[in-house]
Amino acid sequence: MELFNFQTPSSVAELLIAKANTNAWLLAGGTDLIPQLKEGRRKADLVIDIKKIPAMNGISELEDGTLRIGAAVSATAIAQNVDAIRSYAALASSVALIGSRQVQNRATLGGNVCNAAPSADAIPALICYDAMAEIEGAEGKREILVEDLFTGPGRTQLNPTEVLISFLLPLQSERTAAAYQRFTPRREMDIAVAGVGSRISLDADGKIIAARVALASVGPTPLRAASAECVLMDESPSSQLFEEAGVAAAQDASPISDTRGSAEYRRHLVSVLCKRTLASATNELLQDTWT
Amino acid sequence: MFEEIIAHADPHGDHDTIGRRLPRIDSGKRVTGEAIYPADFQLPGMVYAKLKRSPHPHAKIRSIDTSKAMELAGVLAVTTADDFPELEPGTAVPMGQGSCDVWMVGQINMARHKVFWVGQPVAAVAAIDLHIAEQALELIKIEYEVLDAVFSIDEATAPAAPALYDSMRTTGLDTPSNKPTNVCSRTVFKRGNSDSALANSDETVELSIKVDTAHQGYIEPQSVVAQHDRDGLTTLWVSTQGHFTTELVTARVLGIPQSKIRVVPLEIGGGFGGKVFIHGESVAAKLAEKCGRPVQLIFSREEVLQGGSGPTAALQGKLEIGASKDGVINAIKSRIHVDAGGLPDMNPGIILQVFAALYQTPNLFLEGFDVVTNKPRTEAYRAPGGIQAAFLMEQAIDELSQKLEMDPLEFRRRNASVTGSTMPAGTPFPSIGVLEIADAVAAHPCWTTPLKEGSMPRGRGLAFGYWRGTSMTSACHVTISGDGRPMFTLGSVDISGAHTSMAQVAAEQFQMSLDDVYVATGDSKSVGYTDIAAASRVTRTMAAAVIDASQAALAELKKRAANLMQLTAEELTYDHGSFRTANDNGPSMTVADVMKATLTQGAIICQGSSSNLPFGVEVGAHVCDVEVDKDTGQITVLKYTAFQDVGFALNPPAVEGQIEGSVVQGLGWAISEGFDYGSDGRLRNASLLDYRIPTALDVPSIDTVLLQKPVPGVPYGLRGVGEVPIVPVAACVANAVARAVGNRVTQMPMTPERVFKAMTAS
Repeated sequence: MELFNFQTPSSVAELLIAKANTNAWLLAGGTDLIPQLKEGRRKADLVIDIKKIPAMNGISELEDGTLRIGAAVSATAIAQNVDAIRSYAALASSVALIGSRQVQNRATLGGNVCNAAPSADAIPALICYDAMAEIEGAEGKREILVEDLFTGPGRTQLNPTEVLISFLLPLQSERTAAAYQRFTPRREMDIAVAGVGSRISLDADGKIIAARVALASVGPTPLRAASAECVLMDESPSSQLFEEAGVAAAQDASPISDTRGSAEYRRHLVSVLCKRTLASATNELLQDTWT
Repeated sequence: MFEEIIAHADPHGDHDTIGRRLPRIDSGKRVTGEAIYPADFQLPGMVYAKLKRSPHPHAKIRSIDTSKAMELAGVLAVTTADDFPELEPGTAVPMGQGSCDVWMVGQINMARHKVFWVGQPVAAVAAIDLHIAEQALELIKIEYEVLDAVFSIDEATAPAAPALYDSMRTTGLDTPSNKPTNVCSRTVFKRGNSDSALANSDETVELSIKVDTAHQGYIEPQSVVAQHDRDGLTTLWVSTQGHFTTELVTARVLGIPQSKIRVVPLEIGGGFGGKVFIHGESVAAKLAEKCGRPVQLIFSREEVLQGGSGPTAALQGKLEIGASKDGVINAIKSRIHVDAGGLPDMNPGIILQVFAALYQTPNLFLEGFDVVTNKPRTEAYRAPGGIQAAFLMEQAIDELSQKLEMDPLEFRRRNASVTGSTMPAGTPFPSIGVLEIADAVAAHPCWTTPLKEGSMPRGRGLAFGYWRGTSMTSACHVTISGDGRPMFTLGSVDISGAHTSMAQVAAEQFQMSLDDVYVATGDSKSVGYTDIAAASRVTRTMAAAVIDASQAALAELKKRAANLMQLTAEELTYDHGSFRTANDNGPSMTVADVMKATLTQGAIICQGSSSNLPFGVEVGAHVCDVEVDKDTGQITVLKYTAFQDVGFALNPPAVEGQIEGSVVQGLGWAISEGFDYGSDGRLRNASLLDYRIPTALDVPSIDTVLLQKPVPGVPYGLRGVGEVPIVPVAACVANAVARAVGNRVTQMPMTPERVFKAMTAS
């Protein structure tokens, strides 16, 4: 590891000044950054600890029902937050898959997203809930969909002066459920060979009026499976329908072959996990009254 | 002598030390982190070393320029192969019943002329801190002439394959060839005529398998501290399975007499066969000599996996086996290739034993080839080659029992080796309990309880394992303290509870409590030569040495007591710390009083040693239940039971721990652990994230069933324990999978993707 400077700002304003003119990396939990620095995969002149910045810490419900989660909130804090568990169960359960219990105590939602690994476990659930990222930089503030944040493996839209401050999860409609599942050879301490998050919202007649299918580890960035969502829209949940959605999602994926799995196997896993997450969400809404 | 001791130490008798369930006597410091490993060890003025490693899998080293690195402020020494004497291949030092090629070990420490794998060391630096050492590595300029490379047995044995060694010719061929080759040797075991016997069998099975290279997965990376003092003595503080071997080998690699090197073993954080050879100890010693400061060298995890240590051999092979309708094996024929990595001489003979040990056959033809490839030189791993070979043999046995429509346990029983049957090498088996283990399995609920249905396919697997182990030599000595308590110094390191089990033996011999005996490992200059802690040998052979030393010390004490009591030694008996006459009311004297009266008349120092103890042949049987996700191919092991004949369990929890640990390691390799090399010869999964050792969540509850059939001529009848419980694991899982889904998985590890492919292939 090379030598670097270290700062601990106490406000976003101080953070933006520190970030303005150097090759700086933000340290939240450090579960990605520290190994990257140690192994020489990233070099930093300055490391900025963001855990002392109030705006980036804490979970709060806004007036319109939006849940705001600071970028430096730990996976464990989200997994144990009652509002997150009640309204955004797929997120609360997916952050509990990151690394091990010890890693989850340190790792943060902002870190998992900004590290921008295609395999990041928290991202498909955020995409499913139409989460927004609140960003601040030299040119001011902006909000964009988490889905639009990623430009490639390890790369985001953030410009060098910008910082992701928090996530905004909009209030979900009645009769909405979501699930995230990943496939790993090991049961913990592993990286998804493929991961799928699915959300469906049903109308009073039980028809699917909104659907999101988001994929991890099967493309250069986390992906939305648009054709799988098309298959689901305006239909009633059924195993047959989810089978078709799975086939479509596999086609939406663009995986590579690497040490974690072949492209062909990953596509197959997408179809399996798509079916399973849709069935899980439907079970939550309809118990066993569907087939 | 040992028969008497066995009689005295009847496992069912009344003993308060041996056979008792005891925690390790040194568990406190291990659990709290107080135990000192080389990475914890500090000396005043110590500096830090890093190795420059080859980026190429196969290349000639044209030149090495270290001048820029030496100019960097804070760099104290740089070394390359030029600082070491050039050894000839085959330069040997003794190791166990064989020898160790010091040229080969030298190449593992520092490449000369040529590199044979990615990660082989080519230069090293010592600097005042690690950052400077790392920067200095980048300033070392090396010119390579890159050569074509081979990364698998198939590539290495292809007709136009580039040869790693111009001089290599296959030994053991019926018709010798004079062409350069990557096949180092051919080993054959045969009797009868297996081809005609196979043709005349009622049922036959032919099976081919491939096993990937795997790593021992010890948690402590290689690490060493070296000091070269002003009087010319080099001291190494090491993590090793054998400090005498470290001393022998390091002295030869450095070209110094053994009087100028002392090796101090610190705690070892796992070895499993991978810490027998040295992996940088000689380099740290050379740097310490060159810079005059103590040097610490610690490998990173990536270095350990990416060519810095020896993983264990990949293997591929084919087996044909035939039997009559009534389930009697007629013939076994097998051909295996072992991937030794970049340096030759990974003898496949030890692996071939697995095909011909548990079951008897009149017709046998076993052929093993040792192949070099441009990958790290492989080293031993817990019953080296056993799990790979059993993955082939025990699957074939299972398949054949299915074809014969015979219970797999009954099929094994009909062909089982018994005491006196023929061993692979043709000699008669010493005491072996295959039938007893089969009886124990047959009566156990893990085998008799029907498998519960699940939402996914389930199956129950059975596999047996065999490992011979060996004995080699062990030494210790004992002195008697001023208060009459025995103080033992052992020649072996404690890799799996040896200090505790030897304290038990010493306490039993002196009829004292565990707290009354002291047991420690001596460094290479303070105790007699002892072979490596390997081959399931330490407890058996060191117990024999401790008993030997104890008997001698008790005899000396008795002589002194007799003198003091004005009696003859024959008139005295020893009983729980006192010498007394046969008459209950007669005089007695404690050992404490004997020593109080005679301490200044001269020390009692008694030695014990053991060599050529009878083999403690190990046999085990494993049963497991698995569930296979039919959509993904993922195997979940639901339940696992391991049966093993241990001769006698000196400390049952230590024995159970060896078995449980072996099963966990076996499950790792069976399901998720395997080296994945890219086309550039680099390991693609050189981290513990992608080299998937199982976590606690991946391992089921493991039950152990200990059988105790003593080995004659060995103290307490002890058998080897630590190796055989890994042997059957992968085959046991594979047999369970085959019974669950109807397909055999012939590639190991049986990753989800491979299982899925096997399920969907048909």
